[in-house]
This record gives sequence, structure tokens and C-alpha cells, in this order.
Amino acid sequence: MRIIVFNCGSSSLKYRLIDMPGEIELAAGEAERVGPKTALPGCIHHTALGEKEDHTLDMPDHGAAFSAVMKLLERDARLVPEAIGHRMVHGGAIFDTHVIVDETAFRHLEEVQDLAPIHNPPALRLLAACRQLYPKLPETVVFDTAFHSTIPLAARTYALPAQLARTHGFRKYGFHGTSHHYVAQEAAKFLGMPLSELRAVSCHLGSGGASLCAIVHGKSVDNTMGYSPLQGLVMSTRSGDLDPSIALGLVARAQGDSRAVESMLNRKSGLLGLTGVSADIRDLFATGGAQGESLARAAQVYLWRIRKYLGAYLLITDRPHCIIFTDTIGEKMPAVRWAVTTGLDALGVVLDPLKNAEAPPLPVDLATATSRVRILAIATNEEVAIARASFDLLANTERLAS
Amino acid sequence: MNSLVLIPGKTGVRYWRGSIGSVAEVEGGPAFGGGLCGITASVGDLGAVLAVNHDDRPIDVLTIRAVYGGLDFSAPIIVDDRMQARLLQLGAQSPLSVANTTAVVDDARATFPDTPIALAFETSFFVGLPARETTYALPSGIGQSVRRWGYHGLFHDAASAEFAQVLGPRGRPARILSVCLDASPEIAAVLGRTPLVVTSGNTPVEGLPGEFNCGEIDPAIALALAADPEIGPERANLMLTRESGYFGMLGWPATLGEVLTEKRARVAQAREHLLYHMSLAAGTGLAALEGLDGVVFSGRYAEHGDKVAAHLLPSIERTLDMPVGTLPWYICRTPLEAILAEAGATAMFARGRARERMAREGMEQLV
Repeated sequence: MRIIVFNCGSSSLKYRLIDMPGEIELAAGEAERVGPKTALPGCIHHTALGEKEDHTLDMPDHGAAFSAVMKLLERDARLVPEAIGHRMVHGGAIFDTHVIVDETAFRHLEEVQDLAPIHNPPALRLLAACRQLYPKLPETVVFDTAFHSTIPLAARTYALPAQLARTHGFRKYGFHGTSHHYVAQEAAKFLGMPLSELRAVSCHLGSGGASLCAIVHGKSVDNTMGYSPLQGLVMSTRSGDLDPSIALGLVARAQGDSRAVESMLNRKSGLLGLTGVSADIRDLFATGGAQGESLARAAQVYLWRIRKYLGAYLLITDRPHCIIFTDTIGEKMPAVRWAVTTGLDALGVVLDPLKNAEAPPLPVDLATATSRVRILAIATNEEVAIARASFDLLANTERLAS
Repeated sequence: MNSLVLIPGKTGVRYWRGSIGSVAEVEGGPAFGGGLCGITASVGDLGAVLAVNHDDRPIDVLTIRAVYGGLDFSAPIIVDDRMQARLLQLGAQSPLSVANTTAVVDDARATFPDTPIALAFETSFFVGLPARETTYALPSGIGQSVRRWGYHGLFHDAASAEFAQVLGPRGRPARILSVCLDASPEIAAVLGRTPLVVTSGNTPVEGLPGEFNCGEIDPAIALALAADPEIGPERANLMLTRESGYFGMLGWPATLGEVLTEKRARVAQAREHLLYHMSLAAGTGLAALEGLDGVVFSGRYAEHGDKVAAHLLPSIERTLDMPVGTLPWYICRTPLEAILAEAGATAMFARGRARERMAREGMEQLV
């Protein structure tokens, strides 16, 4: 089954056509500058069966981008999608599993769109366009939050007035679930054990967002992100954990404008806030000289937060089989892996400095032979994860129907 | 040394009048068993209270517990006009706490004009917390004015010292997980006498959930409450500081002691929540300390340390690859009053030493 996976950004549309269950990539690309006109025209960078091409065109909305991508694919009968898989960041309390889209699901998706105001609305608009233009094509939605639906009550509850928490839906949802689930599957394969036995700490360290996930029996039992993707680690522009009194103090300073504070905590804090010049941890490691001192401090704050959560999750996963590093920083920054694991010998974590520095092909085990906990670097692939989940959903439904 | 200790609280001022020093000097029994204690509405009433109890012995030092001392006060001090002016300057950083302390100091100076008055700060222990731990990832200009503190420094300091003396390793600083079981519980990872990590934040609202405070929450929740037209920022602050924690989860006020011991299902749920977050803090402590020599419990509910130990220790031992039942743990039963009395005596001693030094230097100059 050929499944086209869409990952919708606010002004972009990434896609991959994957033949399942073989997980063979047939086509991929990205539509850029989707939405209102910009100085440069919109463009689709498209690769199909190894051939690359660029197409310049206006794409006033995600529906137009989708339509253009489908036209490119339909030129070749081998590339016509048989199903569509959408990534949705937040499924709220309604969606604790991935779904095949029907009228009811679509209505519920509309209800949860405000939970992730940057990511969910464009994904929903794309979904609506797909349904309108290709009503016969089965569509699935894969939620980043669904993998975390197994987080136990003690971890997902905030100590808030119970009624308030219920009416406002205040609970930990967790994010990056698609990636954490994928690398957990790959780690289990790598270690030669069933996923259902895996205990791990997964470190999804992206150049933008980042989170750690505690995994027991292949299921998420905690995630550093919470009700929103703001909580947890220090990220490129997000503050991560913050005393709620500080957040309220900032609202008072902004004369009650909590939207402005929310924007500041999401877009101007984190590494960018600490350094004032860069939101990328790679720049901090590369820079020295006079500016180096404040950048070094920012790097320490970033790394310390990861290390604190790593220690916390090493304990609650009860002698995990492995730590998994993934995404841009986790896969490609040996210095980060070293900084957050060094000195943890007593906790059974011993990184091999030579292997770590070598940058070998992934997946790879970077722990010493004596390390009780294996330290894996695994390339994440959220599109394949979405294709897997979509294929399983559709196959199961077909099986049940027959 | 005859001591009077004052602990200002929401409903009045807790006091203790007694002696510290050798066991023989302590009134009413061994260690810290005796003395006169109670709660008074104001410090001004205390003179009358002591008179009624026919206690007219001179007080060598009156010690007041202060919550916030900022970076200025890294140890207990004897109050004089200069010190009080420095304290007032901290008002912008922690208005409520500093105003409260200043009011009690004023009352104490008026009521006991001839008695040396000491201040012991909960934050002093955390002055040396590393920058990587104190810093929030906020834009410069905001991030520099706020930092992480701990708010049970007096307990952590005393408990760590006691643990090191009783069970600590010889020849190197002990790596201690210090668990303060109080209305707002707090865990600190301490190396020797230096804290490396603490669960509380810029205020005691952050961290572990308490009897009324929410503890760690997504900051987006605070913002959502502030943005709600039916709630707003002030009400949100009240909700997070006075209506959350075990009270919010259960719907009735419960002490930490009750949460740790009660059998009712809803209380068990709140207990599980608390113990889970304590486990996370313990794991963080292990990573910060790169191992662990032991766990010490202190605070008003220190006696329930065994219940927390039963939950925490096995998982710590498994993480550290230690046989179960081998990690040392200890309950520090020293009450806050005794810790404060000791702090006051230390401040007096330090002042005496300083005066001696000044006198000596003065003489040397004369020579």
C-alpha cells in the first residue's frame, strides 16, 4: 500500500510517499512558502524514484499545495497514493489512539485544534482539503500525543484543584510521541528484544523542540513536555520548566497581556533568550572568545536540564536497557551526548568517548562494553512511523471488516 | 545560652524560650525537649507571656526565622541598623517575605530593646547553588532578576551535617539526598554542605506539591488561567498557592503527615502523586551527585521519613546497583526551633569573634 505522509508546518508542507509494509520511500519533497504571497514565489522541491525537480508556483493555502503535490505524483501510475497519513501534534483528551478520519473524527479534530494553535489548525485545513479533493482516499491521523496516553495517573496529573483540572483539561499530554515510539521500536530491534520488554530513556533532542521520554514495557510512562510543548527541557526558543509564579509575574509586568508572555516564553526564551544571539546549541559549542563565557553558561543550563531529567528517568524506568539519542542534536552532537552522560558510571551509564566522537553510521551503540545501560544513537523517522501507524490502522480495519 | 526563637507564620508567631548548649543545660530533659513554647498573635505580647510564666531570666539572643535573604545574607546575622537597611533593600526581590521579616524585627527590637536579635535565613544555604541550577531560560533582563532558591535551607543544612556526622563517609564530602518533609516538601541534593540541586524554584510554589501549593506545572497552565476572563492573574495566583496541592486534589485540607499515612483511596492517590514526584527528584539528585551516600529526612513530618524511605530507597538502590537495604538513611529529628537557636548562637559567636578581631587590629594599629 502506497501511503503519502503529510507533515504540515505553518507555511510549509513536507511529504513522503512510502510503500508499506516494506517501508520503501518512493517520493518525497517539501512545498515551501505556502500561504500569503512573499517576496519569493512558492516552490515544491520534489524527488520521485531518485529524480529531483523543483517547481515554482503560488500556493495560497495548504489545499493548493496538496493539490499540486498530488498532480506531480499522478504523472506516474507507480506513485499514485492509496492512502493519506497526517501528522497531528495534539490529540487532546479525545484522541488517545490514532484514527481513520470520518465525519465524527473530523468534528472532534476541530474541537482539539486550539490545543496546539501553531500546528493543529494548518494540519486540519489540509485534512479538509484532502477530503474535499480526494473523498475516496482513506485518511488517517497520527497524533504526537497518542504514544503518551499510557502515562500513569501519578505522572500525568497536576496537583491542581480537581474540578479546575477537569474543566480546563489540565493534564500532562506529552509530545514527540511519534518519534519516541519509532526510536523505541528501532532500539528494541537493535537490542534483539520485543518492544513489549523494552525499558528505555528516549532523548529526542531537536534543533528546535526537545523532550525526554521514559519508556517501560515499550510504553511511555512519562515525558518532559506537559499540557503544552512549553514544559520541560530548555529548547531553542522555549523556556521549558518555569516557576508558575514567574509566569504570573511576567503577566503582571505585561499589564495582563498573557498572550504576549506566552509568545515570549515560546519564541524568545530558551537558548535564544539566554544568549541573545543564537537559538542553536551547535552555535554555542562552536563559539569561543570574548562572547564565549555567556554562551558557555547558556550551554550549561541547557545541558544541565537534560541531565537532571535523564537521572530522573533512569530511576523511574528501573534499570533501563538503554538511553536513546535521536533527532538533529541527539544524532549529530557527540559533545551533547558526552556532557549529559559523563560521570553517571554509578547509575550504570558509561559512554565510550572514542565511539562517541567517531560519528559512525546509525543506529549505533556508543556505550562501553561494561556499561550496564546501552547508549544508542538512532536516526528518527517520523514519516515512516506515521506510515507504520497508518498501515496498521487500515490493515486492522480491513481485517475486521472482512 | 538562654535563647528566644521566633517563627513568624500566617496565623501568628510561634515562639520557643529555652536554653541550648550541653545536654545538662537544656531545660526539661535531654537535648531539646524542654523550654516554653506556643503561638502568640504578635511579638509585642511576648513580654507579657514570659512574665506570666515567671520567666525573667535574661535572653542571650533572640533568633527570628526569615524566609528570604537573597544573595546578601549567606549566614545568620545579628541585626543592627545597617543590617536592617540592607534587608529592606531586598524588598523589591521578595516583597511579602521581606516585609513580614522586617515587621517582626521591628516588634522584637521594640519589645526586647536590650536583647541581641539574630536573623537566620532559609535561603542562605542556597546562595552557592550553581548557576546552571539557578538560571531560568528567559530573555536577559528578566532572567537575571529571578533565580531558583530553596526554602528549607535551615533543615537541609542541619540534616546534612547530622547525616555526615553519623553515617557519612570519612575523608570526602558526603553525597546526600536531603528530604525535607514539611507543609511544602522539598528535596535537595547536597555534596558535603553544598547544595547542587533543589526542587523549589524562584518561589516555594514550584517543585514538589505541598499542602496547598501546586508544585511543578506547565507554565502554559498559569498563563491559561491568567488569560481566562473568569479567573485572571490574581485569582490564578491564589489558586496555585492556596487552593492546589493536596487540598486541591482531595477537596479538603490534609497535612503532609496525613497524606503519607492515611488509608483512604483518594489520599492514596495524592500520596502516589507525591511519591512519584519525589522519585523523579531523587533520580535528578543521583545524576547531580554522580552517586549517593545516603538519604536524610527532616522537617515537621520527619517522623514519617520511614514511609518515604520504603518507597524511594529500593529504586535508588536498584539504579545504583546496590543490594536492597544497604543504602544508609537517617531521620534528623532536630526541630526548627533548635536549629534556629543554634543559628542565633552561631551569629553571636561570629559577632564576638569579629569584635575581638577588630579590637586586636585596633590595638595593633595603636602599637
